Amino acid sequence: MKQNTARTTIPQGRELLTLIFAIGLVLVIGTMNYVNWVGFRRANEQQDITRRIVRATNTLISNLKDAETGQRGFLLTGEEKYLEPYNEALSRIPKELTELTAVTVPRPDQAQRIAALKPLVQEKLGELRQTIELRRSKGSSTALALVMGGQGKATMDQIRKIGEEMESISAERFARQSAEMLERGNEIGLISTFSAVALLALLILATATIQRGTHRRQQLIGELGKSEEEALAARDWFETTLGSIGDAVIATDANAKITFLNEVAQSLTGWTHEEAAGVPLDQVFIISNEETGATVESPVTKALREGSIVGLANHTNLTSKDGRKTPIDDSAAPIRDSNGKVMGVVLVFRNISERKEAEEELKQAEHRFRTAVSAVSDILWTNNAKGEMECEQPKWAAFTGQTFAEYQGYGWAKAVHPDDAQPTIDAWNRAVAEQRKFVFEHRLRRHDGVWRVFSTCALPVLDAAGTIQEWVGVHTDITDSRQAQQALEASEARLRFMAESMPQKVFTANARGEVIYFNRQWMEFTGLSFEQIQNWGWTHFIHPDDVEENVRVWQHSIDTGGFYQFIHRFKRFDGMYRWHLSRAHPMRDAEGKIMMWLGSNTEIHEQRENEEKLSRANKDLESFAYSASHDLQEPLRMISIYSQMLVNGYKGQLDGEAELCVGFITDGTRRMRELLTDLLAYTAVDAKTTDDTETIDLNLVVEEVTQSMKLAIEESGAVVTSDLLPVLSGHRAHFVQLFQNLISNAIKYRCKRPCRIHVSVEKQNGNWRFGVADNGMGIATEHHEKIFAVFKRLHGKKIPGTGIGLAICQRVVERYEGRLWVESEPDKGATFYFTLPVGSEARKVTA
Amino acid sequence: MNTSKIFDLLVVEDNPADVYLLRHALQKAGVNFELTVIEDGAEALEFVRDYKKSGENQQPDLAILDLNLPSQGGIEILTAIRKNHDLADVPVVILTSSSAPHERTQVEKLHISRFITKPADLADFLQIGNVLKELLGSETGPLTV
Repeated sequence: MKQNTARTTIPQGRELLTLIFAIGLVLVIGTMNYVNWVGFRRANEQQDITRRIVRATNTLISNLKDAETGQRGFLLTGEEKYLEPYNEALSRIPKELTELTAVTVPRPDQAQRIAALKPLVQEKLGELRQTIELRRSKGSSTALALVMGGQGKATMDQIRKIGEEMESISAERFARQSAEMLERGNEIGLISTFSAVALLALLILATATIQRGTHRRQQLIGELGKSEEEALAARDWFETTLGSIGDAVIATDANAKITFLNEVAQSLTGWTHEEAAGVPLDQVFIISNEETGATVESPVTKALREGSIVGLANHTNLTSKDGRKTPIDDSAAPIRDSNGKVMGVVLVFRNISERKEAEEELKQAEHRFRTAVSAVSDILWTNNAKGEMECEQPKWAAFTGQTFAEYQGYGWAKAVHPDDAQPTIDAWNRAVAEQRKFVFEHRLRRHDGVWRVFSTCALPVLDAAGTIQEWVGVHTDITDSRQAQQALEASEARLRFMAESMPQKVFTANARGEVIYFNRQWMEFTGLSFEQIQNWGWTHFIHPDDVEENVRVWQHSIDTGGFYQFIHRFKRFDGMYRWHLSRAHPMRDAEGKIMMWLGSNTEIHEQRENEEKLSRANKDLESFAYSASHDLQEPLRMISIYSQMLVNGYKGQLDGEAELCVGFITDGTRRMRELLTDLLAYTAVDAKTTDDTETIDLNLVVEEVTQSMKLAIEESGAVVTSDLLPVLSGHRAHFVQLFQNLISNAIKYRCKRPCRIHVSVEKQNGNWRFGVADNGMGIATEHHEKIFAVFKRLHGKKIPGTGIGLAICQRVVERYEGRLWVESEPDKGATFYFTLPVGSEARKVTA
Repeated sequence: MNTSKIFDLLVVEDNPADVYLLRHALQKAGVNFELTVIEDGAEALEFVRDYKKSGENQQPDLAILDLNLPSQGGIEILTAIRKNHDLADVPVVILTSSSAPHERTQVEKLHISRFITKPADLADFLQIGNVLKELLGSETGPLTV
């Protein structure tokens, strides 16, 4: 751009001449005009002086005339008012004289006239003053006489003459000055016209020149722009190209100062283009030996010195501005101009850290592989392309005990069991010939002479061209797993034998619940083949009423992995349905995943039928006992009451024997009633109760019981104590019966000692264990069981009782799935224990 | 209590022995009474349903029901009494050999004056006469035990 500006400020050839001419012309015109202008101005100034002289002269004469007029008036009239013009003129005249003197300074001739004028004016003024004073002092005639003397007139005429002279000279001068001014003005006009024409011509010429110049300049600008664009485009292309290069590029001048660095170079060196421009390369491109850390000579320096392409030694690190070290790989080449002179150097380098890492990884992987090979127990070996053992085989040697010389070539085959050796060699040769994977199993003799079973596998290692380089093989000792497998097979056979020979039906199912095995008993029972009942086929011989629920329960177990249990009917070969109890457990692998289900089906048909029969019989019996004891009460009540009526009605009328008989009747009926009441209570324990279970505080129950037995307790002097008892759920009446019987027994079977009864409780194995302890007569060990039987009594009529109390207690406790027993020794008191489940509910009594 | 008044008592009881004892107990207690005894449950139910007050036929002073009756239970008869406007206010005493708790709960909902289990002891039975006498003498309405 600078060059372009310079070109426009220097005019060329003709343009220069035109310019000089124009300047000369302007100077001449200017000078001429100036001279004329000065002349014009001077003439104008002279004219001005002349005008002022004329005006001042006229004013002076006019004032003198005024003073004379005033004097005349006064002289004639004697009135003072006529002196006013005189006085005014008198006051102005001296000033006017002074001014006149001043304005005539540039005009010496006129000044002379003024000088002549001045005494005349004084004289005139003196004459006027004299006459006025004469008029005042001597009257008008004296004064007029003086006037008449003509002295005053003569002076005034002289003054007028001088005035006229001055005026005429001035008029003459004025005319002369006007003529000069006109001449000067004409000249200026002429020159101006000429110069205007000349300038117009010049302007036309200049315009043409400028137009030509502009055109040319535009041409030049256009040309310049084009070449500049081309240069920019080339530069852009160059920069983009260098920018896109994955390699870093730095260019220097001949003094190794940086002139360019691309983006990759900026990022690797940490220098921006702006920072680095003009900076010596070795400040930006700092390289050192990766291992020694020693500074390395810049390839640029060398390239400049030797003028040839220079590569960088390996293991070079570039240190960036912020201290980062990057392994690089680079080269430098001199840049030459068209004459072959070195102008600078271009340095190309790249980050090779990834390549370095990859190399490092490869190294490590190889190391790892080598370590792994030496660590595995398998025997790894290599054979040459022809299938001969060639190199050192440390693993093989260690296992077989063969020396290098022994296993060389086909020597290894001697370590193979004689029965397996030839088949191995044949198979091996086939694999080598066909260049395919070799798989074989054979026995190898260990160094200590023991034969071990091996599975071997070898693969050919191919080169890029597909030819075999060598064989890599591995021998795996499978002796143990082979034995384990054999053991497993034997075990399975044993289990299968058991499954087949046992009377129970068994099956296995896969994780999806499909039955994959039924034992022989199943086929015998159903009369069907395995194929007919496998998978879900078994559902066809389930009782239609059971099948839906059965499938649901089985599916639930499969889904959840939970234990399966179901009671259902299977159809026998003869069409009869038989009740079975089926169960299945999942078998899981080490990770807990279900591998299979193992199930059994036990026929419980007879057992179930018996249970049902028994249950029915029990129910009938209970129902019978209940109604019997209830209905028997009524006639008994009649016997009882009417025998009493008889006794009362015929008191004293019956003889002794009859009275005794009636007494026996009454006694018998009372006892019969007691028995029936207790029997009723006994059967009622398991009777169907519609009432829901309730929460029962046993402390209140014991309290209620002792209250109801208050009389008996007081009579016996018994002291009843209790632990803090728990709250349970169940039927209140049951617990009242229980404690009532046990406490009343304790009182009934007291001894001579003061009667002490204690109700205790403690937790034992998740149950409550209650104890009702007394210090009474105790029970001999042989009676400990008997006493709980219905109607069983150890004592005679001396101690009243029906023998049902403990039976009721046992029934109550059993209903709550507890147990009742006694611990006692004769004469050492007795403790009746019973257990109840913690938080128990009475078991549901089904009809 | 007006001892000269003759109380009209309705007795539904199938056991003549108990009716005999009841009479005996009331006599012992010194009650002047007249018994209308119905022995059959169905008959009693019919009687109760069709009962109409009239000049001669006044509402009984007390009804004594047994719960265990042939053909119809006492509860049905009691229900019918409470449904019949002409009998609804009659005080009712249950005299039964049954001691089933659910039966007792059921009848107690039907506003009974007493629930008495037939005693097996003569003296206890005779005491019933005094209980009834007291009931007849009280001016209050139906009582519950």
